Amino acid sequence: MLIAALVPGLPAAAAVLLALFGRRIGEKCAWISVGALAGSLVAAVYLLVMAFQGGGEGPLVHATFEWMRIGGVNVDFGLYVDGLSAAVLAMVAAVACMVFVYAIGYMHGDERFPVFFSIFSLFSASMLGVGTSSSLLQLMVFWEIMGVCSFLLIGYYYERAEARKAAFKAFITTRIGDMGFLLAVAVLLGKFGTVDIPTLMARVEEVAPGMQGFLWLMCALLFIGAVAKSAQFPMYIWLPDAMAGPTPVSGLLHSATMVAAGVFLVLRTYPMFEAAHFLPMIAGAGIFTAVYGASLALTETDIKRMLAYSTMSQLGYMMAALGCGGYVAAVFHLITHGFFKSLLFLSAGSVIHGAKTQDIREMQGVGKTMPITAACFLVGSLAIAGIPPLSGFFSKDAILASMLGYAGTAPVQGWIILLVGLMTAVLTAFYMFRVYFGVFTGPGKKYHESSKMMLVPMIVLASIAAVAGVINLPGMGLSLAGLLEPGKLESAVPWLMALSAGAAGAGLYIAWESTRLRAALHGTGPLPRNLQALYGGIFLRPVFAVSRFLRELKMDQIIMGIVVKPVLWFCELAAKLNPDVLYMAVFVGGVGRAAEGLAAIDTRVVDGFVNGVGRYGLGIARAVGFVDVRGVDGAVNGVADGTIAVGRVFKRLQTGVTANYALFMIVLGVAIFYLAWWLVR
Amino acid sequence: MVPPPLYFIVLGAIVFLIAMLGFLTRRSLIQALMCLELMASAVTLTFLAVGRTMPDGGLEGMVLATFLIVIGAAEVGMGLAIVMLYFRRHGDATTDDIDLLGG
Repeated sequence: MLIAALVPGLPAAAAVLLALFGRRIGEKCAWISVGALAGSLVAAVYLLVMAFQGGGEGPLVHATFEWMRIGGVNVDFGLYVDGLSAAVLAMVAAVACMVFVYAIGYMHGDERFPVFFSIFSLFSASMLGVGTSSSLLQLMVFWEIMGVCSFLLIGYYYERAEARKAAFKAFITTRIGDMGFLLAVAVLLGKFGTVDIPTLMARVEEVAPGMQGFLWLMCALLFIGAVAKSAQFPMYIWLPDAMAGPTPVSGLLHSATMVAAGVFLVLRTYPMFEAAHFLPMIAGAGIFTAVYGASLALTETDIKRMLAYSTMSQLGYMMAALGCGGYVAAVFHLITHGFFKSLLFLSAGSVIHGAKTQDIREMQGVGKTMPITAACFLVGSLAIAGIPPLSGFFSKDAILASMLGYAGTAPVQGWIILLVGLMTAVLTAFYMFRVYFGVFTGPGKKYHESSKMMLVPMIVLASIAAVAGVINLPGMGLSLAGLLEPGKLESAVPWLMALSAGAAGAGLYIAWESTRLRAALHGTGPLPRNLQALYGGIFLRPVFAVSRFLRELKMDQIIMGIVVKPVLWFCELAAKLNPDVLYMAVFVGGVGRAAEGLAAIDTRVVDGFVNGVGRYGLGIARAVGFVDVRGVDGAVNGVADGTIAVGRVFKRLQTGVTANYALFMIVLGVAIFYLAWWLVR
Repeated sequence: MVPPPLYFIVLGAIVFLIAMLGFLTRRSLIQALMCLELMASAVTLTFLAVGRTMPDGGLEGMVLATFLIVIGAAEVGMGLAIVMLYFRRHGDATTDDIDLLGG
């Protein structure tokens, strides 16, 4: 139990330490974070080994403490670790550890270096916290901490307007999803009196037959939260913009944390989705996002945004697998994707570091002078494309197999999903290798290879991404499937494996041809044979045309208008999400207007009254003054002089310093309190 | 597992003192405002803790705490608006410059 607590606890402690003392320690403080994460990794691996030894029977750790008691409802917090969380935790800790080492090299020389590492540690701690949470409410707390950290990290370069904008966009879009999550948690708590995940799932399965509609609604609400966090259609709009943050942030946000949290939520509450028959919705939304994201990635020219669309597409894949009943496949892909996507982002960051641009068209022949980066990017591309025997091949194949299984129960939808899934696999290989061939191969300028600090984590991640497929080799006893769904036999489908590899190969080949075609058109390569030109015209043009059409559709702006705008509509500022204006309109403007109104009342009513009284008083004063000047003045002057003398003394109390007044208030308050106490006693 | 209410009362008092000292020493208006909010939070905590000792199991304390949170939110809204207006007029927002009352 203590070990499970260490997993999120260590990075959280590192975050606090860095926030307090980071400035004093300087750049070395990053090693505290790395050490804390290494500790988390060791603990998570230990838990995973324990889970394997347990054979996936029952939870590994389940300890709860009372958090709050409202009337008769208890809310507990605690630790809950089973095979699922152990596997995900180990992946998150490993990826985060590597990304942190990379960040030391990447952020070197940054003014706010300790601040960055402090927030970054909290960011990973919150994801590890999501993984160990025992109740939905607790999960939500970590979920929100992660949201805040992502806001801070995306907006890390807050001097830039687009970074600020992107941070707000990400925060507000995910908040809309959180609303659904919160509603679901609140209603479930009210209905069942508990939000402890295992208890809740057991209760839900018990009552499911009689409460289909209600459970379906709850699932829909939870799924809205997952959709926003995992950047699924239509809430993906924040993801490409989130590239405004530093590259290590993108590397972690897109692989192991944040976007993984949405999938993890569905995994955690999977029995409920199953019981409510909500899965087809997830499958549909997921597969659409998968093909949509892949199409968008095809014509994107910013390397990081391209990877962002790819993330969206891969997460769609995971969701589709979940919808098709491929629980193990989704976890498997979540883990392998965590490794190869972080690898791709780190490699892209290394290229950006060397080439000083993010535009794919401006990078040429990078591979010549940055061989290690190129090799790492190649491994990542091969893995995500699903070329055997790299990890992506096995997880993608598992997903396709689950789709095939779904086609057995629902032929029409199942086959459509499987077909679109294969198409997405082709597109994935295509867009990745279009970038790889375009950026890394061929003649080019001279670039500087990145520092060792950045290369070492990339190499480590590349080796893991290459071999991570072994964790779920079909037919092996010690596999992910055995851990997550013990007793369930998974059989490999050879023809599907061949098809999946073939799809990846086809995509790779198309990318190669299209690169040659483009080079020829630019006059830098040999003229293509007629066949190739024809081939390019028939196959590539329509694909590119669709991708370009989707881009010009400006879907994200439409979604902004439909989904995000109404939420902010009452503030009369939607697209430009400008907090300053919002703030001015609602608060400052309101206060200002109230002040103006009061001022008008003051001049007209109060002043008029005062003036009237003044005039009346003046008449009397003239009469009295006559008497006054003669007799009373002497006495009055004496009193006045006295008053002035006293005033001079007491004037010193009126320093005008706010803090002094506050001090007087406090001292007097305490004195009065004591007096009252003394009197009452 | 839950610690006795006295611990929370002491914690509330400590937080209140820290916030009070912060309010007395900080020069920035924003920080002063934050200290004010922290004081309110300390009081909220104290209410909750004292409420725990009551026979109804703390409901009364929770109700008071809810009120305090709402008041705190309203207070922040007003306070920040004032700070913002002041900042627009003066170009900075430190308590040092607000000395018109000085004799």
